[in-house]
Amino acid sequence: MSKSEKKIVLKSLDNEAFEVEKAVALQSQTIWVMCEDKCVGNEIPLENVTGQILAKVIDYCKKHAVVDGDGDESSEELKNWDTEFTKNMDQSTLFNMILAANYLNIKSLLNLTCQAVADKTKTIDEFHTFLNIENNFTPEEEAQICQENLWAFDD
Amino acid sequence: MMQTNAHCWCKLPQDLLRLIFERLGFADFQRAKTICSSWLLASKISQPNNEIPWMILIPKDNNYGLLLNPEEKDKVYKTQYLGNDFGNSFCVATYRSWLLMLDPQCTEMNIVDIRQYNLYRVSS
Repeated sequence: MSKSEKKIVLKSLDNEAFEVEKAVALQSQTIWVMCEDKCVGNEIPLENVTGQILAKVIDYCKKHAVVDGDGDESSEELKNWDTEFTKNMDQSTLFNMILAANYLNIKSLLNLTCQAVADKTKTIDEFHTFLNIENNFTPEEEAQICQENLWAFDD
Repeated sequence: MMQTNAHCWCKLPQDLLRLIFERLGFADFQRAKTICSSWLLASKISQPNNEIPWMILIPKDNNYGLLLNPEEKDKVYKTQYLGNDFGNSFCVATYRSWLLMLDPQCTEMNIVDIRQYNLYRVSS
């Protein structure tokens, strides 16, 4: 890819196209490898990511590209930005962000989103509601779990 | 493809679940593994991340350990039976939830993983 090609178009699963700076997109190791191998043109189809999620991923990458690039923002500010970024994310978005970060191979975003889920485990009630999970244990597993975890719940 | 999975955290791949589990402290870890089968499975291939070390007391002549978590100041947990001579053994090293125990005769080393034992709250 020539140096003059500063922009890349990322195309989502639902055919939404996003034109972004190369520096922004290349934070994704997956995209970086695609570009290095010259296996794609200037438009990169991302078949596992919807437009809604891709827009958020790009927001994240833009923020981090600027900071890494000219360093005029303190790491403290960036950390606060990250916190705000995941704070009000609903569980479905968070789930898809984890999958997208994994697929696009953006380590820092994967760490951030996994940490956000981990932080939700502080109380089990909140966690169950947040994750909207129905317990699917077999009766044997259920009995074992109850036995093992008596202590964790008796408040 | 992703949208259909949107609400099923049980379907998060194991390697990603593991990333979450390794960010959990001991108590949260134990709670998270009760979420569903696949979370339970993930807990078995992960280690909790205890940022604040727990204190483990091994009362002499007894066969259990007492655990105190500084994050939950009012709670003391008791392990189940940890084997003959446990209380008279020496703890020579620890790593995460693992204890390396040397028996009273100093002839045998045992590795004890505190995670695999049931814990009971004994005081509050």
